[in-house]
Amino acid sequence: MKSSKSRLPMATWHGVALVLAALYVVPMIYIVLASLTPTGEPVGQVPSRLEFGNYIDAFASSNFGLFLANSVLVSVISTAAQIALSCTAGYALAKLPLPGKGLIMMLLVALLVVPPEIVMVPLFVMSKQVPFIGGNDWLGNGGQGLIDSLPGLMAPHVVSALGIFLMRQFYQDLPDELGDAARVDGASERRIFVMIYTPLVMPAVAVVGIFAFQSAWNDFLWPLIMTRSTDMQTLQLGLTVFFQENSTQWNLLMAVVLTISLPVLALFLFIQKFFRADVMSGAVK
Amino acid sequence: MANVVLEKIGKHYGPVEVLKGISIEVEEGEFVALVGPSGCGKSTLLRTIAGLEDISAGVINIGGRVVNDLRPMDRDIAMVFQNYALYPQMSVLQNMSFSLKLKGVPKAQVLERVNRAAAILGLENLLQRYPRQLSGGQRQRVAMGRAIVRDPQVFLFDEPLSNLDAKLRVQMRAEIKELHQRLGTTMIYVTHDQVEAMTMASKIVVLRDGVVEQIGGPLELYDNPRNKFVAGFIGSPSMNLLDGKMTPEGFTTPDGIVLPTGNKNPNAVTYGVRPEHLTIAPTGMPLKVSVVEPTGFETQIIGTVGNQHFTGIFRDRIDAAPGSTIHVSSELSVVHLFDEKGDSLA
Repeated sequence: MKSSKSRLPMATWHGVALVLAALYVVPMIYIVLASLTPTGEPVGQVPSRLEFGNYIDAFASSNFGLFLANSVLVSVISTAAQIALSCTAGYALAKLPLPGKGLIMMLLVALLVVPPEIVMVPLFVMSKQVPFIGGNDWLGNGGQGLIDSLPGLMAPHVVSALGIFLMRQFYQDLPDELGDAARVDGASERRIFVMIYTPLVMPAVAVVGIFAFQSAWNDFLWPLIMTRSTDMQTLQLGLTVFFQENSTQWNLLMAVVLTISLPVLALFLFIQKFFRADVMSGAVK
Repeated sequence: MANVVLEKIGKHYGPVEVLKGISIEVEEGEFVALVGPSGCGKSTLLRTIAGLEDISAGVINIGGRVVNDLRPMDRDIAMVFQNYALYPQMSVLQNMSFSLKLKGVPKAQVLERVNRAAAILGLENLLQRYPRQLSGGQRQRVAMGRAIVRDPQVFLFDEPLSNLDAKLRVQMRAEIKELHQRLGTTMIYVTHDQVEAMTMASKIVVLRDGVVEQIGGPLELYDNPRNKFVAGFIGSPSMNLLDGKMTPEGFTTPDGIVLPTGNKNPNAVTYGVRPEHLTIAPTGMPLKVSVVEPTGFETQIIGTVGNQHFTGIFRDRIDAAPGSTIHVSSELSVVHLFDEKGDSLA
């Protein structure tokens, strides 16, 4: 039997944990209740009845099918690209005899502390002045470059310093002997990367994937400055349809917010199985 | 089976010269051990033979073919690593069949070869397991199985037993030796453990600071070390090496103790005698006892002769107390003398 002396601190910790959990759960409950509140009733209170029709009305009120398609395309492609680039760059920095690796790593670490907003304007100018794209001449002038295009929307999410850094650390921790053994076994360098090392860094791939998807899916500012036509808008931009000059349709807004947050949640649940700590055990002593 | 000829192999990392013109000939089917202290270049030499490191100078010849510029996979060698290097995401079967699959060997043949290797190593019941589900000894066997299935011309072992506990090491030592006798394949085995080298190899190459100190059979190295380094390195416990000089009475230590020797070479400055060659003799040299280590089978006595460290191993059970003095002697034929450069004066 535990003494009351040891029970008291445990109860305190449980209390703190409950408060912290509430910080996350209460807003979610608020969103769920608000999304089910009938039009005309004030949101933030328990609704008189649960109006599931809000979800249909919300998605019918604008071209959400197109926004959803744009968001899915941008998020899925940029996530796949970021995983591929993070893995290849991270592997090269960790395992290949690359000159200047130390300097590249230093620059990467320096990039980690630069807020994305700082690079937004230069990135916009670069996107606008891509040569031979969007009506541009070879100097990148005359047209709109990548502006108002899906590749333009994906641009900042395709590569990430954090992703490369994270992958590099994981690859670095894997023993070089695995690559040597595969070389002796007859594997090419590409096979060693794909078949030997990369299956062992799946937890890191899962982390990079979820970061990349979440950042592309939830992005608001970049699509806002990069899109001109409604055809190129993403779900996050589509939410603005509920903000009107004198009022905001909170119940419909919340219905869409809740719905569009589900893919990230689903993705997280799906990739949980990759977070395995024992993936390397048995490889080496 | 193939012979391996290394001619003046040099390797440097920037200004640091790791291998300095090493030449070794390994005959077909021979079991050669490369031994030496840490940092002597033995593992680097093995990796250059495997093709995992480029050489800066020299020629590597395997089976009559210069392989300097060939990739590891094209050298027809197999290597067993110190820390197993098993692919953790693959089962034992997949680990062992990986190289054959890459070669495009038909599936039926792959299975046949894996099963044959598994039978040799007693791995038949472990083929579906993953490396994490195996013990250290089993992992080491899988690593060897992975090498065997390739049916290579030369096996390379890089300290394969150093991660195992003492009991398992002795067992695996015998298994590797048996494997060599069974397969008859040329084997090059790197170890820092000279007992391992002595018990397993038909030829030993002693390396120090990137140069070959001596090449020879285990007993040849034991009986006729070319220099002080080999004399001290081969044998466990190592040879007693006492400083002194030759006088008309014999080899005399700075403390004035005269040691018996048949060879009166005036250039001798070091007197060497192996601990196991000593016997108790009332007229022998005085050994002041510091530690007595009885093992039942033998008694090891550690102490000093004059002011110099000295060890003796005796088959008899000796009742000597720490602080007491016993007298020991050896046959003159097993005494070694070395000159100022450390070379043997046999």
